[in-house]
Amino acid sequence: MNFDIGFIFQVMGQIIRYVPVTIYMAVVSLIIGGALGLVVALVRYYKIPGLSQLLSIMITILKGVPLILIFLIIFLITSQNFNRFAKAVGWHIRYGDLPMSVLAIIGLSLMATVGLSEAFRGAFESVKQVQFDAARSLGMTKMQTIRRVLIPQTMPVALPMIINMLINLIKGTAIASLVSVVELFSAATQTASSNYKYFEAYIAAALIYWMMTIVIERGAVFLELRMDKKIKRS
Amino acid sequence: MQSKTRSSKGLWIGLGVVIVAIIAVMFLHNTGQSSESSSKVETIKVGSGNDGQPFAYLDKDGKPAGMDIALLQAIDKKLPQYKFKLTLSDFPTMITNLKSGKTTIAMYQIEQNAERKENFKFGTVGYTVWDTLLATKKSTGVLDSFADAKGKKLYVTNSTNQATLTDAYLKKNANAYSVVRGTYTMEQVAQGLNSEQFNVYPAPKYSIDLLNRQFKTNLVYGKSVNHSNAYPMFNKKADPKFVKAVNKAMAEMKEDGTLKKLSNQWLKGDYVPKD
Repeated sequence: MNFDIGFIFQVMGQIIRYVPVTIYMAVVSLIIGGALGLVVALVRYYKIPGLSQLLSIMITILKGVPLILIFLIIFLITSQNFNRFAKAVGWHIRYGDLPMSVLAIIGLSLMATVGLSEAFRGAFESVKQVQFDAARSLGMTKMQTIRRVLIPQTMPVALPMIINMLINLIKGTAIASLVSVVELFSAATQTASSNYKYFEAYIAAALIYWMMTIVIERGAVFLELRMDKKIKRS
Repeated sequence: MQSKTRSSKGLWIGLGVVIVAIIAVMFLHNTGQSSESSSKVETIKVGSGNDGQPFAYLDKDGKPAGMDIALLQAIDKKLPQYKFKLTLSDFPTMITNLKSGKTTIAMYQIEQNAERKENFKFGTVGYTVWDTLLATKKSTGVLDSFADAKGKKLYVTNSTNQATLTDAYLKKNANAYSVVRGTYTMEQVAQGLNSEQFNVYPAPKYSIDLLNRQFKTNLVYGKSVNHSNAYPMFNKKADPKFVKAVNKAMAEMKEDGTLKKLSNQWLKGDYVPKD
């Protein structure tokens, strides 16, 4: 087989401009998923009656649905109803005007919410009961305990899982072409459509994903060291 | 300090593993050979798709089915000196298998172009018309060329010839139209047109007929913007005797109406090229 190494570099040069959109979708989804995941984890940790059971069922259902299916469901629901909804509320925007990356972010955020809610729930368990007793003895309210005791002690434990989720989200963006978002992977595939050099195009995409992952991992190590220092100081 | 040394060591190990993996995969691709039996009947490994209904897919019983599969089986029947062994996969894997020599021939509605001819051999008998038409809703109007699509929004599926054509025109005529790119299912395409996500769909007549038949989209189209047919595609090193035999068998099947029969059976219409 003629293996065209030059084409790998050519593809890398062409698809590198899709790195920002890939990172944008992954980071925004991580922030949304992180916030929602934290709320879900708190509700389940404090066993808020009704809501805790409801969220538990929702998380179980979402866990079992493949991301590809979530994307398709989001597309079909929004494409069928958005124009009607926009007309009803008096918006002058049509479905075609929507940035489709929003749909991908919704799908990826759901994935992040499920993963991170479980990560936070596990991290909460690492906080010792004596910490809560100390907070109570100081007269802290529940919200103050969450803000000043629970979350600060949880974050260092949950950080590796958060970073892992960010990497998973970056890889998850590879199916965003299902909702017509051009990102790294679909751009790489497109470059091979006329000459059928798919193998080279895939290697080019893999190398860029790998470089992104390395940068994130290095950043995570740096962040962990800083957190360790901060904890030791305090 | 120690953890820094350890992490950079890990990085080098990771780099080494990736390089070894790439070399191993390249090596495996280079050693791929089509199997040949020592008897007079030669086994030919044949590539096609497993996810493209009605061209090549797995039916509800998991058996290969579709226009391209039926055509391959018909060719196999006509060539007693060869025995076809099917290898089904997604499109890019099928191409990689053919290029590496793991398969000798592939059929999955493949169109020709100059770049592809550099890497593969093509058969001489086309079996499905793939002329690109610009499908629109009646309200958008009938379009005869890419120039008519000025200011409109087109949808193209990644990795298709339609995407290449759309991009080629856009390269020469920047801002002529905007393009939505994706890997939509036919249902999504229908939904995209209905919801006005885009208003032009460059596609072959077969796809437009399918949308109109299955999703009642009532699409219209004008003149074709290019002429193209689907052909069998061979590994560059395929035995010329085998290529000739396939061409001969296909020419006979075109002549005796077998291609038309298969097209009517699987594509619900006669899409056999006249040229």
